[in-house]
Amino acid sequence: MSVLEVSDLSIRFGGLQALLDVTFKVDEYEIVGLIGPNGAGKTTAFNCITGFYRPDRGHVFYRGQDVTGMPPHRKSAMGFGRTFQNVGMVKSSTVIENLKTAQHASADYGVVSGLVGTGGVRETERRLEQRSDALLELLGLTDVRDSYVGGLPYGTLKLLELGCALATQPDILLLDEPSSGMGPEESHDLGDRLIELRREFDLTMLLIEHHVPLVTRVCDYVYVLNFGQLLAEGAPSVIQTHPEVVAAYLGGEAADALEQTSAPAEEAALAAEEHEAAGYVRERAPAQKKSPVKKVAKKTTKTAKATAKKATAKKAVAAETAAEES
Amino acid sequence: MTAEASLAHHARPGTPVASWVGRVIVWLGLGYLVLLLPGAIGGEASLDASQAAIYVLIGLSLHILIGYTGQISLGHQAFVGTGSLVAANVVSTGTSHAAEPVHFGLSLVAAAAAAAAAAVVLGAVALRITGLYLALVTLVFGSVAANAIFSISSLNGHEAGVTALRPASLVTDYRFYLFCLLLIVLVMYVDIQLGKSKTGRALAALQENELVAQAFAVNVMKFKLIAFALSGAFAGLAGALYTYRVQSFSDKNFSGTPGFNLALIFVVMVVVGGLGSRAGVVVASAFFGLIDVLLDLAAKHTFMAQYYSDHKQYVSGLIGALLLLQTVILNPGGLGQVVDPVARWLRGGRFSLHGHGPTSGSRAADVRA
Ligand SMILES: Nc1ncnc2c1ncn2[C@@H]1O[C@H](COP(=O)(O)OP(=O)(O)OP(=O)(O)O)[C@@H](O)[C@H]1O
Ligand SMILES: [Mg+2]
Repeated sequence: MSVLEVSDLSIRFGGLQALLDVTFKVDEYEIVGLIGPNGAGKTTAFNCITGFYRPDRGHVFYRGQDVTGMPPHRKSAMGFGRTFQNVGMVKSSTVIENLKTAQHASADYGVVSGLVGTGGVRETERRLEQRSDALLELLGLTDVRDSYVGGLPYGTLKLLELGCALATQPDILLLDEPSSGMGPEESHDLGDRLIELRREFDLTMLLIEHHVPLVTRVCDYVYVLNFGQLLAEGAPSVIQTHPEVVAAYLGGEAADALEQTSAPAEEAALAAEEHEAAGYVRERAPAQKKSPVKKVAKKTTKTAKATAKKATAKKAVAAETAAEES
Repeated sequence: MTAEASLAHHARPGTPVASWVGRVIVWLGLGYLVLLLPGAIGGEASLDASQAAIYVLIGLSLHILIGYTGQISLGHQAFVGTGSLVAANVVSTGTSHAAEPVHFGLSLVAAAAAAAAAAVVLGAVALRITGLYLALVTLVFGSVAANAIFSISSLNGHEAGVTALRPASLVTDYRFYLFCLLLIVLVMYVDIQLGKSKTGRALAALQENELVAQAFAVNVMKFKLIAFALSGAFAGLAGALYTYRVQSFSDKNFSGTPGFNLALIFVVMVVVGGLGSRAGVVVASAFFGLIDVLLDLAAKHTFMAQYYSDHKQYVSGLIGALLLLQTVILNPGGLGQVVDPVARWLRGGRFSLHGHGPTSGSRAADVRA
């Protein structure tokens, strides 16, 4: 049984069909990538899955249970951990306070005993604090323990937010662009970290990510969204070379993508190793022996250039909406 | 942590002994001022001091909504009034005999419960609205509820007021004042526990960002209602004391213009005290509870006496307005910016005007908008 199954998910905002009949699944212990150009509907899919949006149509199943209409706080308590695209933490609180807040569901005392301050409450609070400290240590962030979140650099925040999501004791972790604001090296480390965290906490993950090397490295399987619809799916190496994907997704960034994937051989090998180590079972499309990325990319350069204009325009819109959101 | 502590230790001005002597002197001074002075002055002093104590309770109550939850209540006089009315009717002593201690206790509990219930009703109505609309809804709710319920003549002693004599043990004003202080200690204890528990963290999270709170498994609706309930309960308790202070309930205090004025003062004293600063709110509330007395005192022996007594209500209103303006424009952290460092020092910390929080003004700024 899949940990997460999404079927025929559709949602419309005014005149915009943000998602249309999107169907995918995430199996136990998998790291699944959800990629696509700006405005494709990735974050919207996250919001539908975690209960922040109510889809017009379609269903969300968690381990076989229909959880479509469940409110987000209950989903969080049930095992959906998530991060936000533009950092979701309580900025006016300290790091340690945030980690404790994130453990709300495991603070198992009643509100009234909390107000009385019984011994049980103190015991639980100590436990929450210990777990928070352990998480900080794991992420190497112990020195910002008592800092206010508001003043920290973006890269640190993204990592901290991951820590907060872990603090909710998730069964499945949904990460919205965890590597944004990180340099190539940091994002490489993030890849190691995600794989390590999966092992440590027995996690299943769904990952929205623009950074191609990270996707190829950690993902067992990838779904591609475009204009609210599923465009392609498959193993990262396959997706990477899928002509339509290259045209649609990498369109404006073809040159970039080429550069980023110029050393894919060892990355792919590493990923494959990891997948095996993880006991990865999903049937993969027949793997290609050598990465033909360059060839395909070259072939599609023309198309890419044509779509480049469109993509830049779209990006501008996305940036605007992001600005509005924040 | 230990390194930090020792650093703080070294940076402390003066020798440790000298600064502890200073602390003890200030503690003793405060203790005398709060505990003994009202009794020593005699006359009306204890009654005046209990008014300050009641305002402190109300300030702490409203601070839970405005400071912790980011909700505003412009109808808080209705909750205080509900407590006042319920306490008077539950104990219903008549004019001849003192309240039985049991009835007195019961009336306090009933007052808190009734006001909490009223606040939960308002909270439920206001759950999905914030900002200006919430302010409007609470304003209307407060005055309509107060005017409607408090004018039921069987509850307000047929316009004449309901007499509620204190129990024998609290018959002197000074003892009653000490009892008010006891309740402040109780409410402050709960308030502090609130801040340390998951409820306080949940409120801080939902005040800043409801989406993040939900991602952290916080049931936003539930915890907003809990904040309303707790705030209402404390307001109801303050209302009961309001009744016992003058030993009667009168609907005139809480409905119509006087009621509206009260609601405004309550909000002003919390903002002037400083959102997020318990100590600041306590000091500011006490000040607003005493403002008329202080002005009387100041005017008494000057040529202003006649002028002041002619324009009494405008003068205190004007002072409130000026304090509000200076807080909002110049000093968004409120009185807390001064009081908090002193309070920290009194607890043995280092004196520094630069608080260790992210400017508590950042939250006050929201009120400005
Ligand atoms: N609450 C909303 N109301 C109206 N439109 C929305 C809302 N949420 C998302 N949209 C729109 O839905 C479309 C998909 O947005 P979404 O944020 O899911 O894209 P995305 O794939 O996450 O893009 P990006 O890579 O830029 O984050 C966009 O056009 C966006 O403007
Ligand atoms: Mg997005």
